[in-house]
Amino acid sequence: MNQSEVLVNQLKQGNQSGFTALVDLYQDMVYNTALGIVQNKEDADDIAQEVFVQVYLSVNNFKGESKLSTWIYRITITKALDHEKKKKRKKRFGFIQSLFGGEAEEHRPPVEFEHPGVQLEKKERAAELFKALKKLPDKQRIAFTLHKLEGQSNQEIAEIMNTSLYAVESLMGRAKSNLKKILYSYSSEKISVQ
Amino acid sequence: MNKKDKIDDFIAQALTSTDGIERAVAKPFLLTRINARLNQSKETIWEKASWFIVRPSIAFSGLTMLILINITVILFNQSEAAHVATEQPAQENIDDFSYTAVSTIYDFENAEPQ
Repeated sequence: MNQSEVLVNQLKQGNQSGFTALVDLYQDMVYNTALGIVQNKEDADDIAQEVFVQVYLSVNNFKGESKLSTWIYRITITKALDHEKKKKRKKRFGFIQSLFGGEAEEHRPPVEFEHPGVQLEKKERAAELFKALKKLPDKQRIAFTLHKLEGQSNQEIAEIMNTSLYAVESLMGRAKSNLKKILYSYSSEKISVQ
Repeated sequence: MNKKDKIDDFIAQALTSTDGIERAVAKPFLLTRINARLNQSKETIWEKASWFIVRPSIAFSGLTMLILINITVILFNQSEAAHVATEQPAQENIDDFSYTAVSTIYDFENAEPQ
């Protein structure tokens, strides 16, 4: 029996120390993945909490057909995407409210995201990449994030996204091609300014 | 370096900027915050129901429904009362000419002695 199986069994029996060990083992994985998707530290922390609450409450539904980490990745991605949708909905509602004279939340321009794990000399370019990443369709963004930020192989990404290896390769190809196009527009702006 | 080379360089640098990236570390005391959330989610069904009911949209919809049901019942009762009022004289005429309404055989046979 491997470590994750032991943890799942302990959790299913309602063992608190098992849950503590699980959080300890997977917290950075969950936080980093959520951070890569939502690109906001507070939101990522909030999502990480939601993910572990969900894991605790639905561990009995985990049948062990996939790896525990794969299951947790799936929950994290779902929660992160839901969080983004909610945020967008809230923003739209705020805008409509402001049209009708209501007091909308103060609109702040998006802050350039800096991933804390990026090497110092690459921070500026990484910020451009993360900005471009936001413009990709969800599936391409998830595949790219899991590969670049979590170092997952295409096979592992296929398992997490519940799709074929071929589909992941195709997603990665399209993600890179789209990113190049978006980055091209950023670069021509920057270079013409210089 | 011409403009095209600069652009290519910019794109290549951006795409490789996450090479060697380190995992972001979760904020301290995450477990404490998770446990607090878990305790919150263990509210009873009645607590959850009350939270649901007091939401403005739900409360307003419920109140509107209640008022609508009341108005419907009042209108229905009014039309019913009007219907009964118009029907009554006709029913009285029928009763006047009906032999069953005048008396029954029992009444004839058990007439009180005068």
